[in-house]
Amino acid sequence: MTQKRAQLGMALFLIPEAVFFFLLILAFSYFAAIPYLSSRNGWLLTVLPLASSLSMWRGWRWMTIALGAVFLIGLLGTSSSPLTAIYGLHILAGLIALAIVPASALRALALYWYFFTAVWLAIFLIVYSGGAA
Amino acid sequence: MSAVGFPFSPHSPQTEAIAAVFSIVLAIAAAIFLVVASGVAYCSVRFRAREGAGEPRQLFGSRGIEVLWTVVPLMIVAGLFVITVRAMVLIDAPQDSSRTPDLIITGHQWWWDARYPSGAVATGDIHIPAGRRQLVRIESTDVIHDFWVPELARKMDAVPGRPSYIWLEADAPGTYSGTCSEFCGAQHAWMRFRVVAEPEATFSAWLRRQLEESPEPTGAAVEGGRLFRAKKCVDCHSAVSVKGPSLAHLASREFLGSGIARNTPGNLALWLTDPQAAKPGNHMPLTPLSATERDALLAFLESLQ
Amino acid sequence: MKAWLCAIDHKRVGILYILSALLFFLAGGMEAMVMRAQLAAPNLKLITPEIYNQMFTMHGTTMIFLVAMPVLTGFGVYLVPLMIGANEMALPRLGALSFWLQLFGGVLLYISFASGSAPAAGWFSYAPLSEKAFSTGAGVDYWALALLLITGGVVGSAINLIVTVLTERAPGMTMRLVPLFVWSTFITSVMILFALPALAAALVMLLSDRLLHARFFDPAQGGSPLLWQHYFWIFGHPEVYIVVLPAFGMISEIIPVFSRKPVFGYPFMATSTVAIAFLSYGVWAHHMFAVALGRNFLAVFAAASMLIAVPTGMKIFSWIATMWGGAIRFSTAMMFAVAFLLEFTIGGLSGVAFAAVPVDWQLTDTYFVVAHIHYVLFGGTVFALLAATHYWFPKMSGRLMDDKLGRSSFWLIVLGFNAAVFVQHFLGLMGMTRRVYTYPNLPWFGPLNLISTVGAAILVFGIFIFLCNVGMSLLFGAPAGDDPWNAWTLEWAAASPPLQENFAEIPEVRSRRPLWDRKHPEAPDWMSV
Repeated sequence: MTQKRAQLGMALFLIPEAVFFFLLILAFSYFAAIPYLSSRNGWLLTVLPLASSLSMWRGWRWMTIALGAVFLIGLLGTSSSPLTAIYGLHILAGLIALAIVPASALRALALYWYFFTAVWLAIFLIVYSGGAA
Repeated sequence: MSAVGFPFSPHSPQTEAIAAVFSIVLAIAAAIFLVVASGVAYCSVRFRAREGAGEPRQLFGSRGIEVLWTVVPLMIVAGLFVITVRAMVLIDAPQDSSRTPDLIITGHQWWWDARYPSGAVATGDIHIPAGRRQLVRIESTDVIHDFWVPELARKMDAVPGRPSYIWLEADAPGTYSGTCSEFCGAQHAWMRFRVVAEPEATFSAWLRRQLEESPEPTGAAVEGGRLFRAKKCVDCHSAVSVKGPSLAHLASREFLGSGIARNTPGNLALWLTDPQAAKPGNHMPLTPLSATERDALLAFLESLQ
Repeated sequence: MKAWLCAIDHKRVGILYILSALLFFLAGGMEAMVMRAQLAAPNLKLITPEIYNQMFTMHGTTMIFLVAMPVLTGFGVYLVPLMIGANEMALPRLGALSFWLQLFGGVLLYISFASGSAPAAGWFSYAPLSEKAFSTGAGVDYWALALLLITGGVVGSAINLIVTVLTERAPGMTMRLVPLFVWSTFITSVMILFALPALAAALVMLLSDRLLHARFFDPAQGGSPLLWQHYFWIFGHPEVYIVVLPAFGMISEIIPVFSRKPVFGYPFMATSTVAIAFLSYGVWAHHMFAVALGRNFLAVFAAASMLIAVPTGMKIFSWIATMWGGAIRFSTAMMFAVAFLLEFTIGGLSGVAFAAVPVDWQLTDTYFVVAHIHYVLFGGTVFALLAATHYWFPKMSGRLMDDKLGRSSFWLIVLGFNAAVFVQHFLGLMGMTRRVYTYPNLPWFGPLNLISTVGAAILVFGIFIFLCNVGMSLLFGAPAGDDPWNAWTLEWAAASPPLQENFAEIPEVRSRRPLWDRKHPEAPDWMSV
């Protein structure tokens, strides 16, 4: 029962996150405040969130943390913009949570993880592709 | 301005249209409030609990009544919408940058200036010909301001980077007060102006005088004129600068600082010796002046007829 | 003390919210009184313009974010589990965390005073004025960061309330049988999930502009000041309904009990709440009618703004119909609830005036708006809260409030509030803009402002009497018993104050008024409706 409550709570939490990132991405693309990211780096980076979602789905907590950490380092090194900074902060929070929560909360955290993989795809496709072109 | 406010002192077709809409809104609002207040008052008196009486009849609702008080307000609101749109069409100027405006009014922190097609620039008192509709472009050089002269025109936000247009018209000659109507910083309260509507001939004469140079300074004013350039006053206070208001024809103005003080030698001197005391928070820096320099500058400024 | 600091019990957390809101209410009230003193006569110089601008910024920000939202959350957190027959909220630790987040946000905001520059760009902080070039101190940074913290807390408590209502209801209590206060709080919490992120996005962009040299709102670099306004009001308009809908819910609990009849038209009342919630996301640009956004664009928002008056107005009629045919007892709670009907109607009607765009083209940004917002927020939300306090104080404390002090405070508050605010309609009509630290000696400006100031002082005195009533009743009030008002919802089946575990046995529910059913086995609701 607690798990169900936690998952419902997480799902509800993702609603404001979705609206938040939607509005930010909208503002970023409207104002062409697109951070520079080379196509090759961009695709390389994108593999990481996808892989980490896969490992999350399999329930491999530490593999997910490792992939996420590598992604963060890559993000830091290749782009600088408020959008990626905010995104990076959310990933960092997720990694910390992954490291400390009990196993029963993993299902709820998984939702968070898939959501932020989707957000990355949105950022990459909408914002970066526009810029790289 | 009438003692009971703009709806009762419109002086242009646009504000008359607004006053008409307001009167209708007021009538509807008064009627609705009367209905609500009577209902509350009646129930409070008639249905007061009586000693010993049990619970009253438990009524849960009535579909019919609820539909009624949904549909009737909807109809009222629909009517109000139609009136609103009609008035908007009447009042609004075309937001069309391809037309040359009759006047460009710019908001700054914390004054307004008006530029005429002839090149004249007026600060504080904006003259227009009475009875002739002017297309006015509203702009800002810094933050968002709002140009509002309630007896003559709707208010319009002055958004930096995004000029907009209003009709400005006075049906009769007169002096009409206005003020900035969007919080714009420390001295938003003193960003007032006046629109002076004049008969055509008077207006043309005024316009011509704006372009004339002030008479040559004499006596101490000559030294004041030199100081005006030497002390860098002219860097901000010229017709082309946006950093400070133009001081052309300053001596003919009734007010200083967008209405904060009357134009007297004492008040003017305060601007020279302590701008922050004259208008706290304004952007004018303090330029140290000796007493003689101050008096010379004062003489110069007062020569600017 | 430690028990309170570490509390996760919903009753404790609820009271923490209410006490924190009370503290900030006193701060916000002081800010208001400083302003009213400065405005008592033309050309006064009691405070500098900079201080005045900080006062109105802090007053608005405090009252909305640190008073209205937390106190309504507090009542929600306290009452919702009791009203649905639950012993606890679904996510108690999240509930506690949410409280502390909003409190820390409030503290951060007030630390800005100590730093020498409180924010001074207004509670809606329009760009470019709020950008670094025009607000050079750290005030706006404090403001934005504090609001981000508060946003976190608000979203957290909304999630907690939604999950609680969805998962913790007593057996038999379907969503169609919940008390209207629970329903309003639930809908409000859903609104929060969709509205607050717009504020967060705007704040992130503002901080990026100010601290990281981004250019979202700077027209000189390709940004747009209007972007701030759109995002802020996409949050801001639903926000004002967020602080009013729970108040409506409170009135829907109070008027029926003191009229001795069920609320008139529960299904319409519940549906109209949802209608208001939906429509509130489609009216935001009515705060921007004075910007040249295009006639068709404005007309759409005018239509929506007029439309939203319909579900709101029908509530007023429903409450009157609830009183009709009843057996009304004018407890202090009922007096405030009835006054609410009149005050909120005035505020709602002045709001509809603004929906008529040409009228807005004269009256927006004047004291007419100030009058409107204070009629709906004070005459509306605060009056409902005063009614709610008198109604639920016995449940929360086990004691009754004093009736005589209640009546005195009522009349003082009604007199003071109306004297302070009604004249502001006229000042607006006469051309007095808002957010001015002083005004010229134009006809009637001085006298009307003086009346407003005197009214505010009377209002303060009335609030003081009310607070004395609360304090004295806590110490010396008569014992209330479980059900002093002979009411019908589940919170009155618990003890006063409720034990740690609210209900020894979870009651079974068959209608909207479980206690009426219990007290009237010969005519229970589930047989009549």
